[in-house]
Amino acid sequence: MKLPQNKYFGCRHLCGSKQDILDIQTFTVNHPETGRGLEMYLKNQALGDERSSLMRTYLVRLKRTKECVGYFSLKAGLVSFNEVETPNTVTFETMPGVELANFAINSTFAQKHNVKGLGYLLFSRLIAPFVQEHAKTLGICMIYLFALPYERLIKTYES
Amino acid sequence: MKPSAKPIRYGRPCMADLPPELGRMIFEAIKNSPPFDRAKLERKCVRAERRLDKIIAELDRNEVAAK
Repeated sequence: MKLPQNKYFGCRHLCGSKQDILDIQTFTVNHPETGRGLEMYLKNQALGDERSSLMRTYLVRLKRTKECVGYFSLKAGLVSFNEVETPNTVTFETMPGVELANFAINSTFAQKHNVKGLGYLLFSRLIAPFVQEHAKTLGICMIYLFALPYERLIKTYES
Repeated sequence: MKPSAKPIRYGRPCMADLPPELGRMIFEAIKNSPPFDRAKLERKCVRAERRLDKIIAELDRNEVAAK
């Protein structure tokens, strides 16, 4: 499987290598509302979820310096709708998609280089094309995420 | 627990410990979401790419100067 990359970024599936561990240890998310959870997931849970196939996590690095720019986690999912429940049966339709379960920019990198808009860039140039590529062989018609109920965060995703 | 951690309950695909109505709610939210502004996203990406170009150029210059 071809992992997403472009002129700037390379992407690697989290595998617990020496470099991965180093990047994970120095990864910080300074976002006031969601930062801690995203950082803790990467540091404490991501490798375990990898081993049990609950999630696939990818580390994004700047090709030029090999610095870790961010990470994202994907899992398969679906949304059911038009449910009709009778005493004996439930009928429904489903819409398959990919859940962007975790997505964070490494604040250490962003602050060091004073660069903004990395989230937009990673989503637009790496994540969306990666999922589109999978949609050629699997039924996928959306990328979705469950945003925490913070207005500022929801507005960011809506834009 | 994350909503989709347990994908199957009562033989019905749904979002784990959340009510089955959630699927309908998500579907409605998708249908009613504001139109996606691709041009705005592209502008933000181009700005970030320009900044990355500058960073890389600076690193290259420093590398040449150090030799």
